[in-house]
Amino acid sequence: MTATSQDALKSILLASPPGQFDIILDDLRSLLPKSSASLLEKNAVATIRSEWETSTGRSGLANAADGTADDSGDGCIASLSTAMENYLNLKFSSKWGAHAAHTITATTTADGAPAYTIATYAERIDLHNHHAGSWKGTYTICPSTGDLSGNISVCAHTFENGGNVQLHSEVSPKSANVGTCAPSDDDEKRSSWAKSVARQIERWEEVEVVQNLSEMFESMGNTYLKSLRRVMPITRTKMEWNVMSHRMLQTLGKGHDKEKFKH
Amino acid sequence: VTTAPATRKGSKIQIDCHCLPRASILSLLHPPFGICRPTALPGIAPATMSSSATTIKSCLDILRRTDPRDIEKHLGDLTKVISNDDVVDELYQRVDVPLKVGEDSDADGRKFLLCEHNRDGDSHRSPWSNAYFPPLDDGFRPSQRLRSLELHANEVFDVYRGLYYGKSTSVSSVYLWDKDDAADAATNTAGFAGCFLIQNRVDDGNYWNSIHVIDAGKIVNGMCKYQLTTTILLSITPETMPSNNISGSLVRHNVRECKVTTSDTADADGNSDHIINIGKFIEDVESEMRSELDMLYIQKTKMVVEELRKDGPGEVTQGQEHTRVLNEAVLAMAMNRKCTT
Repeated sequence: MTATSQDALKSILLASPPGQFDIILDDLRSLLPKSSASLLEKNAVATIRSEWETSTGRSGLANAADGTADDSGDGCIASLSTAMENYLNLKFSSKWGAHAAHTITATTTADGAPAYTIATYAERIDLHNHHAGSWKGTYTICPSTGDLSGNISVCAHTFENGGNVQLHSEVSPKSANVGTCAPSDDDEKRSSWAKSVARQIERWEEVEVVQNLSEMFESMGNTYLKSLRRVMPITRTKMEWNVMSHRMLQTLGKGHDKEKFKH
Repeated sequence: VTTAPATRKGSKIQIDCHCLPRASILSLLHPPFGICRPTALPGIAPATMSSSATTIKSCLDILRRTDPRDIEKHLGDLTKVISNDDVVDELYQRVDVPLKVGEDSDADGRKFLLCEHNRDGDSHRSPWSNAYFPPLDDGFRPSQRLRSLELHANEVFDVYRGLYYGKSTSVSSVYLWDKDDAADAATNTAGFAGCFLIQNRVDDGNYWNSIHVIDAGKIVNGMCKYQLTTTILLSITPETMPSNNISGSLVRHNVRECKVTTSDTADADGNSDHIINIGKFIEDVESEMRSELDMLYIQKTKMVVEELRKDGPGEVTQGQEHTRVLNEAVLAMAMNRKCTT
C-alpha cells in the first residue's frame, strides 16, 4: 500500500454523505488487506473525521455545548447567540427530527476590522428509511460596518432499493447591510441588531435556497427530466419495434427508387 | 476512457440481485466480457460469502452512498485500495459509469458509445463498421449469426433513441456477444447476451445514461427467457439555477419470458422476435424507472429538505406534522411496492 492508497481512502471518507461516515469507514475496513489495516487506525481516522466534520459543518454540533466565543465584554456575541438560538429552534425544530446547532467566533475582515463568523448546522438522519440531509450556513458579520455575507450548503440523500439520488445546493447570497453595533450600545440595541442579523439570514435561506429549490422541483418532471428523456415519444404512442415499418418510412421519405421498379 | 485492465476472456462472474428471492443466484455467464449487476442481497451474513464477495459488497455499498457525479473518481479510488486484481476486474464490470463517446471514421464519423462490453485492451469496437478504434486486428468480434442481429438491433434502437431522446443530443449503441459454447452457438436456438446503451447530454453538463444488459436464454418450446439489468445514471443542473444539482443512479433487474416464433436471427426482412421482445422489454423498464426517479426518488429528496428546515413562520402545527408523517408513509409504501413487484 502506498501514499496513493492513503489518499484514496481519505478521499472516499471525506465524500461521506450526512450521517454515514462510520458506515463507509466500516466498508473500507472490510476491504483493506490485513497488512494495510494500519491505514485506518484510530488516530488516522480521527484526523480524517475531524476534517470531514469541519468541511460539512458538522463540527458545529459537537461544539454546541461551548458554542460561543469568549464575549470579551462587548455583549454582541451573546446577543447574536440568543438570536440564532431562537431562529434555529423555530426553523430546525427537533419536532421535525432535525438536530441543529450554531457557533459564533470572533474574527476579522480582510481589511482587519473586527467581525464575527456565525456557523450553523442542521442534520436529519434517518438511515432506517434510507435518507439523510444536512443544512450548513456560514455567515460573517462586521458590526462596525453592518455588512453581512454568507454561504449556504444543502445536501439531501436518498438511497433506497438500488438507488442513490443526491441533491447538492451551494448558494452565496449577495451581501446585505443589517446596521451597526458598537461596544457602547445598550442591551436593547444589541438585541435588536442581533435580531436583524437573524432576520436577514432567514430571508436568504427562504428566498435564495428554499424558494429556489421549490421552483426547481416544480419544473423537474416537465422541464429538466423531460429534456433528458420524454415520458412518451412525440407520436404519443409506444415504439413500433418491427424494423420493416421503419425502413418503409425511410424509403418513402427518400422517394421512389425508379431503378428498382423499372419495367 | 477509464484506465481499466485488459479484457477478461473467459472470466466467470457471479451475479446477485436484491430483487430476487434470497436463495436465487443468477447463473454464471461466460462472455469474453462479463456482465454483472446489482448489489449483493442485503442481510447475507459475511461469513457465508467469500472474501471477494464481501469486498465487492462493501465497494458497492460505498458507491451507493457517495456523490453519483463522482462515481468514476471513487471507483478509481477503490481500485487503488483493493489488492486483488480479480476483484478489481469484477468491480469495473459491475459498476456503471457515465458513458463516453467515440467516432467511427470508417462510418462517416458516426458516433458510438464506449463501455466495457465493446472494449478489448485499449480499443473499442464500433457497432457500425465492426472495426476497433484505435485499430486492433485480433479484437473480439461477435459471430456472423450475432453480427447480423447486432446490425438490426442498432438500426431499430437508433429509431427508439430518436423518439424518446432527441436525435441531435443523444447517441445509442448495441453490442452482442455469444455466451454459450461453440457447439450450441451454431444452432438457431442458442442464447446470447448483449448491452443496449443510450446517452443523452444537454445544456452543457446535464446527462442521462441508460445501460441495459440483457441475457437471452436458449429457445425452448418456442419460448425464450430474457433477464434484463438496467442502470440509469443522470445529473441535472438547471441552467437558471447553477447552484443546484440533482444526480443519481438507479439499478433494476427484471425477467420476462416471451415467444420466439421465427428463427432467432433476423429473417430475410430483418425481423427478429428477439429484437422486438428485447426492445419492448427495454422500453417498458426504462419508462418505469424514469417514473420512479421522478415520482419517488426526486420527490423524496424534496421531502428530505422540507423536513430538514420548516418553511413559513410559526411553530409546527398538528396538521403539518400529520402531513409529514403521511408523506413519509406513502413514499415508503411506494418504494416497498417497487421492490416486491
